[in-house]
Amino acid sequence: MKKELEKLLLSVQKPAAYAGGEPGSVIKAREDVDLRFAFCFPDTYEIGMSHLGMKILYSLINSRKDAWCERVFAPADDMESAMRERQIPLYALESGDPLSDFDIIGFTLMYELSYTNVLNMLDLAGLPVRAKDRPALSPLIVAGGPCACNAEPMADFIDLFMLGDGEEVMMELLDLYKAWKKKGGDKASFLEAASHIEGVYVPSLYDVSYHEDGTLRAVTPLKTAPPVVNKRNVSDLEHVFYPTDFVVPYTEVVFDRAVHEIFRGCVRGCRFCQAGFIYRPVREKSPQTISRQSRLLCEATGYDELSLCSLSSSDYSRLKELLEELLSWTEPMKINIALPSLRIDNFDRELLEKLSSVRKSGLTFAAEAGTQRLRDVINKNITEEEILRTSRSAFEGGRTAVKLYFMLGLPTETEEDVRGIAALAQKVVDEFYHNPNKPRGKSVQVSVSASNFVPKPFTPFQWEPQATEEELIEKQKLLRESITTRKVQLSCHHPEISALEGVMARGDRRLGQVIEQAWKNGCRFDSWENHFSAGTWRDSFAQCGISPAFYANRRRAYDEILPWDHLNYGIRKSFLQREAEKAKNAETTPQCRVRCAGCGADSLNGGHCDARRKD
Amino acid sequence: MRDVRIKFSKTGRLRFISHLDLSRTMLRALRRTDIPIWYTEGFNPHPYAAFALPLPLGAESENDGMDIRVTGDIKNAAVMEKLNAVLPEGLHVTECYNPIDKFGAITAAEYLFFFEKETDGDQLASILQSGSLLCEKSGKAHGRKVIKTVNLLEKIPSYTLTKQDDGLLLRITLPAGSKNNVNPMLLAQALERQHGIAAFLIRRVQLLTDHGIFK
Repeated sequence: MKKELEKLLLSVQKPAAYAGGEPGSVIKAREDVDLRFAFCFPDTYEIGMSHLGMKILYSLINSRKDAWCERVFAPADDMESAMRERQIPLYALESGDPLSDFDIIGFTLMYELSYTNVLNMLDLAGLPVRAKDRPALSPLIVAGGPCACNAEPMADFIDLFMLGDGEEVMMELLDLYKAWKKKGGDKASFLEAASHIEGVYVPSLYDVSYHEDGTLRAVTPLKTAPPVVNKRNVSDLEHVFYPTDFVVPYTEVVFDRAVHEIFRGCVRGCRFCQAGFIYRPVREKSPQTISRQSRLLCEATGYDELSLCSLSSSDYSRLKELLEELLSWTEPMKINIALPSLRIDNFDRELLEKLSSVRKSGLTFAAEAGTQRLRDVINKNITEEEILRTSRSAFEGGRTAVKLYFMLGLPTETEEDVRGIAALAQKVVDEFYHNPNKPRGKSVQVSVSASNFVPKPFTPFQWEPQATEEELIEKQKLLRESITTRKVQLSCHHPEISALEGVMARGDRRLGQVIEQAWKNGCRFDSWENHFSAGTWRDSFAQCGISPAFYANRRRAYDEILPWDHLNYGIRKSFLQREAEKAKNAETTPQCRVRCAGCGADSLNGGHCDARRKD
Repeated sequence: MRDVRIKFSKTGRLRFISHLDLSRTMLRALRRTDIPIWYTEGFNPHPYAAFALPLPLGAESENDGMDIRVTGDIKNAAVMEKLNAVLPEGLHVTECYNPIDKFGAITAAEYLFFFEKETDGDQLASILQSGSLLCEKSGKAHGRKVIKTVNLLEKIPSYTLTKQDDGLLLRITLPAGSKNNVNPMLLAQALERQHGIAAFLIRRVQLLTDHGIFK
């Protein structure tokens, strides 16, 4: 490590986040590899090191002899100013080499509010933020992750996006790049060739035109780029690459444990949930493979906790079998199994007792809406009876705290729905006091967390207007007033942050200039409440002459061309439209295992879907 | 079931990890070996490990101590070998033996401070002998944050100053342990802020008891 950097690290908070060298990190000789890939997470180390996608792709790229993948995170404020002051460019943790030395710089876009961090990291590396100002093939700036499903706001900055599952498309892209580098090919021809890889979207190869009212007129492919870009789908989860080692951080990070993805996709079809649609179809991994791979991972890392990751754990079809398989070695190895997003009611209690996570953590319900009518609108099939019954048995088991998650600003929401949140929380409180065996001298604590609904692409609500900041503030006020007991604690999300998220989520290319302007005006870490500056963003929109309301608060017609219409995630637009209409009538759609709703996601998976295979 | 004392060094970029991070890292390293570690028998079993004297963030150490508890038949040499095989660069076990001294017996520690060549050795010596170098120390009293002023040189330390090719080397013994402890980083900070004498590296070389080297 350079002496200059060492000195600087002594003066900043959490220096371990900038030092590298953690167990599991991969060091290669520069001269032994053809390709150097910098995997950038546009947020701090503590957040980024918790992200499973990065761990998978890091190990995958490093499994190639010809490539070396390193990690880069966004420096916190104090580190950023120290680096700028001493003119230390942004560097990768493994080699300490500046980003500009790399062939490919890849960003993972997990949330819209990390966009300014992407620009800031490029700038800290001394690179021009706009793709057109980087004429050379190297470094190539790529991006993936859920936000790539509407990549348009970042189209001016990123050379190409990878849509969908990353494992296969990443390897093909590296092969192509290597060939281009060897023959000395230029960037333009590379991008055109890359656009023929399934799952690669090159925004500069599409011309976008607009109607006078600001809506899209057409998105026209240039040269040989495909008119519609399919997301990449990994069909065989059983045999796809999974890491047998993780980089184990020294310093505390948000999720510091072994993680295993047990299946991709979701059977539930909650209409607000983007992840529930874009990760379809359902593809399961066998209990034996999960168990074998997790064991290797635990042995290599020394972790004492294994988390089973998916969008809804209890929908894994062979959960009991999996847990029995895992417990056979996790118990002697003193490893705890964490099973997030579990539905307790339909589950084997004896097995549950063995899971420490259930024992340790509190009880959480994502009820999402306060009344059954609104829960039917959003297709969240959890009933009040289920919530109360499970709370009751938790209280009988000696527990005294329950968390409830809700959203405000859902389509068709009325004052009655908002008051329903307070009423439901009150019923949970009452449930505690009706319990004759309640622990003596203890009170109950019901935490209500109300986030703000943000309509997202590829969901049935993609055409819906988002509630305005003023409306959200009103709803929060009403909710606060409806809660009459101190046993219920309410926490609400920042309406202005949600408003910006909504604009970016369904934005188009014209937002690029706003993002750049906001970044120049000092915005970064916009998802952090203590960092977010609503005023600076407002000014930036005004400076660019762009109205945020056009993107967020307008009802879009079914026949309007949406900025992500030329990207295909397998989900048919007609299905989304059907679901949107059912929502208006508060009609539910059964989960996929009960009856296939015909979303179309299996079309990218050779017609297969593991939700349909059984029964 | 018996305790094994592990002497180890913590150098290079590992000096940027805190005491808490070190403890986590060591426990995980132990779990990556097949050393038969003893687990606590509480609600949440975890391996037993205790550290002789926390090292402040930013300092290196040549000779730190940690005790672990093992069950079954394993030789001390095997503990050292197995642990070294899984430790990251910057952490290295130098010795494993049956503990002799108690951690509480530690009363002092010897440090090396490395200064740039241009450093005025005479000025440094006169500060060290003055018997006074005040610094503000934040701590907690009755659960509240308090800032108090302490004299880092209340007891004039024994030290030697040596000129080397690449700078000035200070070898100094400071009080350490639970009763009276002088944090070397605070000393370095005070020297830099008040006198403009900046050490670029601090290394703890030895833990000491009243009778000599901590064993």
